[in-house]
Amino acid sequence: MSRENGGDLFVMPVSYDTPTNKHVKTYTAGEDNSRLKQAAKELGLERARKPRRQVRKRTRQAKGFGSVLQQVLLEAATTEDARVRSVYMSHTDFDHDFFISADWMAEELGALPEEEEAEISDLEAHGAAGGTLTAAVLGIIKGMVGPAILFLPHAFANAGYLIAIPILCTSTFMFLYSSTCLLDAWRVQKSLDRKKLAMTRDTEMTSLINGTKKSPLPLSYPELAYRALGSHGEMIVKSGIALMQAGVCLTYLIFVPQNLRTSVQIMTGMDISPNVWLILMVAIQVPLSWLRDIRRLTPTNLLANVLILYGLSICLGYAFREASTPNTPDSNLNTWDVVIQHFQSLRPFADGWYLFIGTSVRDSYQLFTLHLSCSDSYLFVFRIGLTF
Amino acid sequence: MSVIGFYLFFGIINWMAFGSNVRTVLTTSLPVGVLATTVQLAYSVAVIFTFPLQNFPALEIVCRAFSSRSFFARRNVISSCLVCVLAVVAFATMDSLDKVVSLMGSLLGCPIAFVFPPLIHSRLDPNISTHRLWGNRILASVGVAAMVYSAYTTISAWK
Repeated sequence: MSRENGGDLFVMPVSYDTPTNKHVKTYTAGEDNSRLKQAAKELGLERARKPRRQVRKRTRQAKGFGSVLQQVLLEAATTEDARVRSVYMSHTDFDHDFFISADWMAEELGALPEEEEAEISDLEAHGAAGGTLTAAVLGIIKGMVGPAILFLPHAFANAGYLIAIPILCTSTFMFLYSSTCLLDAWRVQKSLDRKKLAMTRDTEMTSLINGTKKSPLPLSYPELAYRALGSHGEMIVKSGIALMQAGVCLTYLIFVPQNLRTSVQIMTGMDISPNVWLILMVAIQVPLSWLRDIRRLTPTNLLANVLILYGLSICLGYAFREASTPNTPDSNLNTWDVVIQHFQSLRPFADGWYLFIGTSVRDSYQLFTLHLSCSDSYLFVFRIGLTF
Repeated sequence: MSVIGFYLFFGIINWMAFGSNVRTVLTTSLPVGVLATTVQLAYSVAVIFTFPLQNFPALEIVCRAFSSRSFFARRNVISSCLVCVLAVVAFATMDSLDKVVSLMGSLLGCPIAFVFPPLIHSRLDPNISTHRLWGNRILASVGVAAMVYSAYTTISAWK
């Protein structure tokens, strides 16, 4: 044992099986000096060993707007981000050994099975997250609003209400039913998983953290599809989700330029072609698409919700006013008769009715995703104050 | 519980169908005025903001399909490419095909999220009742029929 080096160099006797060698072999990050001092005392050193310098570099805290922006847009995922993105993963992604976050796994495994069962049944009893009815309704309204509503009146006009209303109602009920199907399947699988987990918990903890195939994968929709229908089914479901969302984005890309064109035309009198607006919009969207953690989008989502609600209420107000002014200026009907008069002027059956199937399917799809996201099963979209 | 909310939704829609139902994009058929312009602007801004959230699942799935390890810079490239591809398609179908495009997307995409869940449920639930099983089968077949039928009619009526 060399004393002239102070505490920096510690020479250990060769045999590594002594009980005190645990002082040398392990070093826990973040410990203080007391263990080292005790080791020194045990081994008869003059001074305790200095704690080893941390190997991992401390991550820079971003200062200044530019670096914050960079950090948000470009740098690697956090645990929460990974969990959010896990909604669309399935077992194939896990095979590639993507990310294994021990915290997340621990969180998954942490709750006792009985507690979780009670939790879930409690949630089912209360309905949507938030518990109270007003919260649920607000959540639904928040999720309902979106440009898709704007397409509906025109579709109604094209289709005639005799066709439109039944089709819309039926498609909504069908979607509700199918989302209930998904939820039930999810619950069943979840409890099966939990049983399997409880049986294997003690012996396979390490292998679980290593992410073998039997580990608690996030039970997402593609994962359910894999379990039911094999990898082909999973592929179809995945591509379907991707295509559908991309299609929605496509309609946005068409909607916004048209809108901007007319409003700018009204405001300034210039007729800027919608293609210009399209390019502008893409220029904004491309950097936004680099965002990894969609939770950071929450403030903009809330803002968007407010704006859409504002727009919708104005439209509604206008509709009410229109509906209550009679067709001919000097009739003395009261308001309700006027409304009925308008009603009768709508055609019950018109040509574009087959198009209405698609429109109603698309709107019911939004209801579908909303129902799934309300159910606290993180099955489809993470609930972060969404709007569709 | 949530059915109440859904009926609220329908009420809103039906009412809007009364007043102003002229053009495809509803906001363009409001009367000219300051208020209408603010509505249009507000809506546009709001949609611009919700766009990334909508795009998020598509991006995730495409990026994972393409790269087996998460290179983060690479993911940015793929996202940008996807947005640009969408922009090109939007550019090509900008005028007067808006409605048709949205319907096509619904017809092809929605049944996947609509026909499949009953099938999945039928397969995965070990103690499913026969009522439920038949309900699932009926729903799935109706979904398939609707998908085929409306896709066919939409395509044939496009030009």
